[in-house]
Amino acid sequence: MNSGENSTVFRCAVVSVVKHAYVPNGVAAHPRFELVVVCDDPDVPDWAHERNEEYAREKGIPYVRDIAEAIAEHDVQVAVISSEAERHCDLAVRCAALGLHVVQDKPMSNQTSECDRVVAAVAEHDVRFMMWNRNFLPALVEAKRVIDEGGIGKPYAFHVDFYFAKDSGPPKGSRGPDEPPIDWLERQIEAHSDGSDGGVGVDPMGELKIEGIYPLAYIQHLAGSRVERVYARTASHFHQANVDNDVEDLATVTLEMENGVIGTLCIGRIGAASHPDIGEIKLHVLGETGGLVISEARPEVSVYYRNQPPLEFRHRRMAIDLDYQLMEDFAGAIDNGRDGVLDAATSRDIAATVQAAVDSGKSGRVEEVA
Amino acid sequence: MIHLALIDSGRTQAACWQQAADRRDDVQIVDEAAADAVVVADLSDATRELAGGRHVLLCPSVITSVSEAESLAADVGPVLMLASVDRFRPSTRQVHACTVGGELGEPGLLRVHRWLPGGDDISTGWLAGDLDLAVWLFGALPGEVYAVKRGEPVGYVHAHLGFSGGGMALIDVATTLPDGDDYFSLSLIGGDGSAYADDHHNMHLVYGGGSPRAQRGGEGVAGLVNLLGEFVGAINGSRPASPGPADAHAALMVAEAVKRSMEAAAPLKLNESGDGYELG
Repeated sequence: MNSGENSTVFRCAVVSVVKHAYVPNGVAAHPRFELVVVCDDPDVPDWAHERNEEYAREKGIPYVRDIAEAIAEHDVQVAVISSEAERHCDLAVRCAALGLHVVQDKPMSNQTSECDRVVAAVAEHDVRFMMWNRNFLPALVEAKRVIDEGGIGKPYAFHVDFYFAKDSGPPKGSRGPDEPPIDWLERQIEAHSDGSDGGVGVDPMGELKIEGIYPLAYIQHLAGSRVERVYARTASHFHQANVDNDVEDLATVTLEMENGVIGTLCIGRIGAASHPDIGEIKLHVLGETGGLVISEARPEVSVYYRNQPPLEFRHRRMAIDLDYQLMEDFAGAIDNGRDGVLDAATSRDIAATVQAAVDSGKSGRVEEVA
Repeated sequence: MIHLALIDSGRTQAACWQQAADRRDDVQIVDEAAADAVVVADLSDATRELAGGRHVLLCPSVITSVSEAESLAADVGPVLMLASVDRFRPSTRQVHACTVGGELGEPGLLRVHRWLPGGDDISTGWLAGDLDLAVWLFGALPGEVYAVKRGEPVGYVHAHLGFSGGGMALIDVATTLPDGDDYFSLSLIGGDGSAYADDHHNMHLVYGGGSPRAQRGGEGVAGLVNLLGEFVGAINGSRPASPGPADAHAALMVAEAVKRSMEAAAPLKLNESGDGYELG
């Protein structure tokens, strides 16, 4: 995990940063990646321009309202995309066509066909692509080490709980009979202030689409198997915005994978009252000679004090090396012309799994993954 | 005072029953001849003892079909209770109390992991124990059942359940652990809160060189003590015990649907009359 002697610094364009800033901030955590410009299309809404400008100001770099112009004038090699979900893939395709390597925020897209375009563009232009992910969190690194060393024998079942104990606007059942349904995009824009705007975009998305890539990437990373069939149950159990927009905030998924490997996923945005920290995120892995139970949050340190704000996490994650390791892997992928962790094709397969799960939740049937 | 004889204590050691009885002032373990109640692990024993007028605690995994559960149902006569200790574990009771008490809001998602050593084939009767927990916590039969298995003999099963109102459950049972301790975890996510009863949270560390060994801080015989309390209460109150034959019937209906789903590789739905499951 060291990009070695190569010290080439990659100049990065932040191509829209209307959601969380953790992706460009994570990219910049590695000394071989330098943010040099923020850019976006000229015709995006004013609120998007304002966020882009704010981020550029914060980083002391220019904001250019023309992507091609920004890339041409700033000698860019890498695009970091964190736009609305439905624009992710189109921006990635355009950047790949300009010869840029791409780091993209989740979800890959809200449509599998858009993901297919990225896979094709990345191959055609021979650039590297990485979906942002959490596969190098300390607990995941440890889980992979145990499995790779044969600590539980050949793994055959992977179970992930991925709960975010966050609120997301008014609770279910709170809308009065004369009140209009909650507008998804307006709700997401409003949610930016507390960081719960992971579903920002025009098209409503449930928790499977917003966060599903993280736990499914864990399973893919550890199992190395592609999902073939899914069965899912979904519900809008917590938040009025999800009820009004017919998207789930709670889901369970059965995953049937290549080589007889089995998995399950429990995922939900389960409300701030449900956990003192970010939420219970765990992996349970069964192997032919043992089992593994991993808490994704660890290592952590506990902090309690008088007048502590009620929503402040009591248990704080620490020694997180995720940003550096992701970008070290990506630098190695660029240097060596190979795919790194969560490349375009793997990400596309996960997006297809998510879509199959959403479809299964509605149909009540087992769905094949396209 | 209930005089209880251990004819066959099944998977629970006789010493544990004795320790549980020692902690109560209303139960005494006695020889069979002096008993007015018995613990059995065989259906024919249960039937014989009930016919003879003795109250029965029946190890639940020996009931393997809906028809067997139906054969045990009786409106009158001695008390027949399933010795489903999982319902009475202090941790499980906490989760149940929070659920029925409303603290957690509407139940949304139940997750159970039960991993065991031994390599045994996972029988319908065995699976019914964990399905009983789901039916008990949701207070209803699931409307949809899907299941996956692995191995021959079957060493892994998971059941995926859907309940009315959007509730759901995932229960995995494995018998593929190497010799040693088992692992159990039960979590319930409700509309207003959640509860986690997880062995992972209750491990001590033992350092003896190399990596430390995890030692579970167990719940002792508290589950059996609670179970005996319900049994005695039912006898003294001349009321049915919970769980009883009707609970076994419900859990086995689901367990049989799980088995059919595994064979068909397709989900089943509860029929309109609520007395069976159908493909499709």
